[in-house]
Amino acid sequence: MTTGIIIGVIILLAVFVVVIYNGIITRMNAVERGWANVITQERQKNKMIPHLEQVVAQFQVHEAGLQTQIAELRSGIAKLHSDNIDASQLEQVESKTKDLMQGLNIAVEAYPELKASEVFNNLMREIAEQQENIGAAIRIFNQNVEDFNNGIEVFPNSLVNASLNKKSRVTPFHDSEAEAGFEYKLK
Amino acid sequence: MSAFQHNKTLAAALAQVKRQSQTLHSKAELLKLLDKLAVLPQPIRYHHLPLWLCSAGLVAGALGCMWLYHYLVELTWLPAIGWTLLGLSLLPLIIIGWRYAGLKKLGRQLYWHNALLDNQLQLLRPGQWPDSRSWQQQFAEFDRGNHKREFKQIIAGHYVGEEHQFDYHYWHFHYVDRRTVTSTNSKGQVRTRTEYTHYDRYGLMLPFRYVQNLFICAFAPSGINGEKYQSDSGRFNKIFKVRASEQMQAARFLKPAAVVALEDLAGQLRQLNLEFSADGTLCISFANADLLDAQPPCGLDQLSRFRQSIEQATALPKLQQTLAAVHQLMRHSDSNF
Repeated sequence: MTTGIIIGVIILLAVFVVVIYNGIITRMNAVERGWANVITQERQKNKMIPHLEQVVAQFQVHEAGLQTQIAELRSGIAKLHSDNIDASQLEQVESKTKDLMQGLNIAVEAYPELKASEVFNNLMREIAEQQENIGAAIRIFNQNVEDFNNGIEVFPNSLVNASLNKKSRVTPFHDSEAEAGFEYKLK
Repeated sequence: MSAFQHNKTLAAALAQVKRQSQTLHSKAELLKLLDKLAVLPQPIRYHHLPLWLCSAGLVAGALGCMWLYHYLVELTWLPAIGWTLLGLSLLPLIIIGWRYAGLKKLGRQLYWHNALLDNQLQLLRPGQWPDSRSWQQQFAEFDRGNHKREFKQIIAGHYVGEEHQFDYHYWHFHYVDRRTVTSTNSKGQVRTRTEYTHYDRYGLMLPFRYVQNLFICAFAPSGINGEKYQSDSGRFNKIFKVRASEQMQAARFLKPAAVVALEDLAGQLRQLNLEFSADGTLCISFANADLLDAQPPCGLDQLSRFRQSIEQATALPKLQQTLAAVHQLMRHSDSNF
């Protein structure tokens, strides 16, 4: 009877450990999938760049730095890899996108015919939607990261992770430019 | 003017206002109705003193009967009369409460009609309803309730967004489940009784031609089928089940911005379902009854303040948020070129 109870408890414990172990793996996969989604969305933006260059050339926009900003954004996107979660590289790409959008807004003010161009406006709308999708993909990635980090840090998951999974915390994406505007800093 | 005459005039005026409020077409008509109430003695309220006195008199009579029975004459029918008088004393109180509730309800109704007018919504009479029978055949959402299924209310509206505009119908669907319960009492006798459980669902019906045959359900009805799809968001997958005729269809629609918009919408609306039909109609359904909820800041007893609140535009924030989310879904599903 006692042996039966002991075996029962051991089986229950083993099932419990397996569930936690699999949970951590599932959450890690969700993080990787979320990251891959962010990269996919960033690469979608890359497809728009040749069209943008074409329009800028068509309207003979000679704003200083615009071509450089486009080239920097392109090379930044190329450095992002779906198999390597690199939030700092993503931050740089996002910052370069913001610079390019600001540059384009300045160009629009200087070239009224550009502002009136339907192709340019459609392109800008598409890029704006892509930016929204990137923002949303980052939010999803951060949610998945939060779930994963909770999943390895709360007790008893922390014990299972320390002895079996051996996964470490994933750093979520932070927009340092946006954070700079706040006096409150999360330590 | 006697209290009786005052109450009679007030009741007639309120009945007229209530009748005419059902056929309002503009804010000017609503304000004219309020003008009719403004000529009545203010504040608008019934004179209930005679009813209070009547009730008090009946209570006194009842107490008198009890006192007589206990201290003077032991007539057996006196307590019965006392209890009857006590029961009758409740009648004036019920009338007071009923009138008070009626006045409050009329204020709420007028304010609600005002909110409909402000938001370009039109309450449809059953004769003006779209073909709700075809809705029931087309959407699995209405495949609920084994006893009764009926639409209680349909309201037509129009939404104008930055990029898209569309007509929509707000609907209230009521269904009843019937089940037979068998129980055995302590003597071993078996009894069966039929139980009816009533449910309500609310939603919007609108054209959405960018997606077909897709179900995104937090409260799945029976009869949804198709290929399973999971988004990249763990939270979205916890809230919703997704079924599509082809996975690619779901993948194309559920871009990150759409996923996040639906996660946010599910935070506002309970048991949220989205069903895209084969002919490009979207049926959004949920359990919240307060999508068109508008509470007046005061009752008709403060008529000038009530009128001021009517003159201002009344927002329906939950409806606007839901429509904005739908617009966002459209924006991300259409082509910009």
